[in-house]
Amino acid sequence: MTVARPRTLAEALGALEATPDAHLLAGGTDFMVEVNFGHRRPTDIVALRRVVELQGHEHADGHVTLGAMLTYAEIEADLAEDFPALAAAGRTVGSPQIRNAGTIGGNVGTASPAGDTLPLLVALDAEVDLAGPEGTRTVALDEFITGPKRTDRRPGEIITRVRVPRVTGPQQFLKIGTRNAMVISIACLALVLDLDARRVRCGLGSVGPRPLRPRAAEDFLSGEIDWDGPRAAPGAVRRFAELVAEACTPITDQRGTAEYRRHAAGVLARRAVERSLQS
Amino acid sequence: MSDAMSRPGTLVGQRVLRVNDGKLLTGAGTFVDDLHLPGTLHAVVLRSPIAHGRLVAFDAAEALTMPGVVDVLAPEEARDATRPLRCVWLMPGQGQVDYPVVPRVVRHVGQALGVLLATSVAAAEDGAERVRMEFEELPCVVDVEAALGDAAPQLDPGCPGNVAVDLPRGDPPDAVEAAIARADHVVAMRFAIQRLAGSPLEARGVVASWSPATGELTMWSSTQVPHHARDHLAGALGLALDRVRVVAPDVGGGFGPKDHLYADEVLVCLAAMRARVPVKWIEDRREAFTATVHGREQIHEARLAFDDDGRFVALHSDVLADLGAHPSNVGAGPAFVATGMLEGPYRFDSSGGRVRGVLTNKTPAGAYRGFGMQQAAWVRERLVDEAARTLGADPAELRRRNMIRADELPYTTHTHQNYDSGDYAAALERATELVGEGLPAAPDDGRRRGVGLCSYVEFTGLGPSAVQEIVGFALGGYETAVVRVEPDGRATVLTGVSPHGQGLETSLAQLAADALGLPITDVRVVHGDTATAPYSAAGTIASRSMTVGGGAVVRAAGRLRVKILDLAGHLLEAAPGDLEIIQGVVQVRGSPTAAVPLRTVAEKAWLAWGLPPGMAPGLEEKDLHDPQDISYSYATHAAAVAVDLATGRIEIERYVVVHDCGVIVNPMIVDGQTHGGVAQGIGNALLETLVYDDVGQPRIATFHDYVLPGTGEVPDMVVEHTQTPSPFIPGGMKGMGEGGTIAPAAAIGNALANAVPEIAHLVTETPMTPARVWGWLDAAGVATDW
Repeated sequence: MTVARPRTLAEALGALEATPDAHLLAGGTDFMVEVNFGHRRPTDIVALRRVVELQGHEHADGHVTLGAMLTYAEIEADLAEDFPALAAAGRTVGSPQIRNAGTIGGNVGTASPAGDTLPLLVALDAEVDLAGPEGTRTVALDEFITGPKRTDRRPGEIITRVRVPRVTGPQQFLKIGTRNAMVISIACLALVLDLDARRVRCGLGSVGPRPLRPRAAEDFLSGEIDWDGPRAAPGAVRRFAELVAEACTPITDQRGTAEYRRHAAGVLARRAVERSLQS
Repeated sequence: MSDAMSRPGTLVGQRVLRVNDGKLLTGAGTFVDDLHLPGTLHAVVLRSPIAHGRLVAFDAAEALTMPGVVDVLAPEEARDATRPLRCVWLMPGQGQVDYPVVPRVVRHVGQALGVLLATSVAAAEDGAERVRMEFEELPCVVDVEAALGDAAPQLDPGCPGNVAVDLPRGDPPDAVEAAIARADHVVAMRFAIQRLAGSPLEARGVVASWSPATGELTMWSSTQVPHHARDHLAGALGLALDRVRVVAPDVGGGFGPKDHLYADEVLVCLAAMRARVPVKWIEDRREAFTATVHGREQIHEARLAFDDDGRFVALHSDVLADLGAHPSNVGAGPAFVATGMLEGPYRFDSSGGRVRGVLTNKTPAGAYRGFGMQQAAWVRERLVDEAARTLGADPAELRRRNMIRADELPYTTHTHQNYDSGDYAAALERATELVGEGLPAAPDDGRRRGVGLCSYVEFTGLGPSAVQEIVGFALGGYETAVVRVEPDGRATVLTGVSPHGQGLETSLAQLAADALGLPITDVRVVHGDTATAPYSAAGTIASRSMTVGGGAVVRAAGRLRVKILDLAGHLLEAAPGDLEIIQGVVQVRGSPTAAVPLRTVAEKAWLAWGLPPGMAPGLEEKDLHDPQDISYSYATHAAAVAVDLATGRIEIERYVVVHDCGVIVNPMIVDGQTHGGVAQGIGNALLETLVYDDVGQPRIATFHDYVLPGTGEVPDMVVEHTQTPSPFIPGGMKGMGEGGTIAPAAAIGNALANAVPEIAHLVTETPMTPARVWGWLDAAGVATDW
C-alpha cells in the first residue's frame, strides 16, 4: 500500500494522477472504520490533511467558503455565529477526538445518508468546489450527492472547498438517535428561516438514501409564515411536519424502523419550526 | 472472636484514596499489552466467518509465504494437541459438559479455529487474510424460541431439541400451580432481556511463554481468575499444574466475561510452545464482540398471583436462556440464579420456576455483572408494579405489605436461599422518601413524568464450598489470605482474589492495616500470580472478593495481631491485653513511653531470638476462609423519569440508591462501584443491545452501534447506605460489586409505566430505546406528533 502525503493541491492532484484508484483520506473517521473491518482494501491512499489550499475558511460576498479539511472542532470554534446549526451538528457527531479529526470535505465526500453536516448544507444550497485534471468546477451539493455514499466526484478530482451561502435568520439542527450525541442519527433535520428571501429551508438526514430537501414542505410553509413576525399558525406547522414526513424515504435497520424514522422527522420538523419562531 | 479482632479499628470505614490509582492514572500500569518479552511473535486468531458449518478445507500455504509470517497452527493440529475445556457449572442432566478447543463444526461467528504467528501484528493480520478456509455451511438458528422448534437445526447430539438444560426450581410445579389457582388475581407477562457485551475497557489478551528447559508454560492474561485459568490451561494442554503459571498483571476491567479460560487463549499458548518464543495476542474490539462471552439474554414467561388485599400468593417464571453456541463455563447458571433470586425481598405462599438452557448459533453466553439477578429484578419488580396497577394500590405500599420484615430474618425462601440479615423495608422507605426530595416542579414541556422503584436482594460472596457442591458449580468456594509483617515492620498481604479495577488493593490493605495498627502505606497487597498467590479456585467473581477474600484477611491479620501483642508484651514486660498498636508502634494503652516499634517486634520475630516459650518464629499467618453461609446484600433503587411522547426518549431526572452491603470498608470505593454499576445498568435499560441477522451474523460489532452509557445518560445520583453486618463473614462485609447493575432497568421501566400507564402492559423488553418506546406509545395510541 502506498500513502502520499502532499502539501499542496498540485502535489495532491499529481499523486492522484499517479495512482488513479487511490482513496482520498481526510479525517479518516469513516474510512478507517471500513479499513479496520476489512470492508475496504485500499492499495493507494492520498492523505489530504496537510494540503494548504484545503485549510481554513474565508468570508466572501454573501457566503463563506469552507476548506475541505475544516474539522468539526474548527466549525464549532469559528463558525458558530455564521452557521449555528452547522456548529450544533458538529457537536453531536462524536467525541472530541472524532470532532478534531472529522472534516467537512470528508463528510461531503463520504456522502453517508447519516452525515450530520449535510442536511444544513443542502438546506442552504451549498456548492462544492472540485479541482481535477480538467481544471476546477463547482456543483450544487444537492446534485453532487447522488445516492448512499455515492457522489458525482470524477476520477482525479479532489473536493477543495464547500461554499455555503450566508442566510439571515434563525437556524436549527435537531437529531434523534439512541441518545442525543456521540451516536449515529436515526433521523436529523436542519431548518433555516431565510428572512431576506422569506423562504423556509430544510434538510433531512438518515431518512433517505441521501440528504433530502423536502421542497413541497418548504414551499408550503414559506407561503404560510407571516414573515413580519415571523409567525405561523399551529395548523400550518402541523401540515409542514406532515409534508416533511411524507418526503422521507427511510429504511428499517437495527437502529430504528422506517416508520419511526418518518415519524421522527415530522417531530423534528415541528420542533425546529417552533424553536425558530420563538427565537 | 478474640478481643484483638473485635477492637474497633481506625481504617475500616474510611474513604482511603486508592493506593494504585497514581500508577494507573499516569499510564504507568502494566497491562498485558505492555509486556514486551524479547523475541515476541504476534498472533492473530483465525476465526469462523460463518455461524454454523463444517470446516472442509484449510490451506495456509500462501500465508506462510507472506513476509513476517512464521507459523500457522492449523485446526487439525490444535485439535490433536488439546483436550476439551470443561464446563464448570453443570446443571443436573446437562447435555453438553465440555467443548473442544477447536471444533469440527463451528457454531458461531468468531469461533476460534487456529492461530497465525508473525513478527508484527500487521504482518500477522495480512497473513491471516491469505489463510484459506472452506466451510460446508449448515442451516443455523439464532432465535431461542425457533431453536426449540421441530424444524430447527440440531446443534449438539447431547442436547435434543437444542435443550442443554431443563430443570424445575423452587416448589414443585403442582404446588405453585395450585397456589396460583387459588389467588384472587394473576398478572402474567412475557419479558425479554437482551443480549449484552461486558465491554471492559481492556479487552482480553495473552502473552504466552514456554521454557523448553524447565517445561514450564507462563501465561500472562487479562483474567479475573488466574488459578482457575491455570487449572484449565494445564488440563487442555495435558501439562502438570506445577508446570503452568498464570499471571494477571494490571487488568482493565472484567465484569464477568474474564471468569474463565477461553479456547483462543489455549491456542495462543499452544502456538508459543511450538514456536519456543513468547507469543502475544491482544483481542481487538471487533473480536471482543464475537469471541468473548455475552450476557443476559433470557425470555421469562412469568406470573405473579395475589389476593384482593394485596398479599402475594405465588410467583413463577418459565425461563428460556439463550446459551449461544454451547454451554459456557457457567452455562445456564445465570438462569438458575435468576429463578433462585426471583422472590427478592418478598414473602410468597409458593414460588418456583423452570429453567431451560437452549443452544443457538450465537456467541456463548456467560457471566456478566448481575448474573441473573438483573433479570430476576426486572421480571419481579415489573410484575409487582402491574399488580399494584391492577389493585389500584400504591407500588411502595404493596411492596411494604409483602416484604420480609427485619424480625423475620433469617428467612428461607422457596429456592432455599437463607436470607441472613437486614431491614429491606427500611431501604424501601428511605428510597421512596429520597426520590421525592429535590425534584423540581415539573416544567410544562409536554413530557409525562413518573417514578419507579426496584427492591432486590442480592446473593453475594459465593460461597460456602458445600453450597457450590450442591448446585454443581465445580469451584471451591473458599479464599486464602497470608498476612505477613516483614522484618522491616511493613506488612504484605497475599490474596488469591484477583482485583481488576475494584480497588481491592486498597480495601484489603485497609482490613490488614486496621488490624495491625499500620498506616495504609505500610501494607502491600500481592495478588494475581499463581506462583505466589494462595490457591483460589473461583477468583474475583460473584461479588465475593471482600466477603470471602476479605474475611480471610480479617482472620489472618487478627491472629497476627494477637501474636504481635504477645511478643511485644514479652518484650515490654506488659500484659498483651494492655497493649495497642498505633501507627506501627506497640504501646501500653495510655502510656506511650512504654512502647516498642512494630519493626523491632518483627526483627525479633524473624530473628527468632528471645521469643517467649513455645512461640514459633516469624510474623506470618495464613487463613483459609470457607464462609459459613451466603451473604445477602439488598437495596431499593428509585428512578424519576420524563418521557417524550413524540420521540419515545426517556430522560432520567433523579436516581436514588439505598443500599446495604454490611460493613463498609471504604465508602468511597463502595460509592464508586455503585455509581459504575448503575451506569452499566442504565446501559442495560436504555442503550445496549447485540443484534444478529437471520444467518447468525452479528449486526453490531463496534461501539458505533453498541451504545455504552456516557455522561449524557447517567444522571447525578443519590447513594445512601445502611450497614447490617453479615453474621457469617469475619469483618461483617457483604458483597457489592454487582449490586448497582441489578436494579436500573426495573426502576426505569416502572417509572416509564408510571408515567405512561397506557403502555404499562407493553413495558416488557429492554433496552428501552426511543424507537422501541415510541413503538409502544404508538401501539397504545398515546404517541404525539409534537
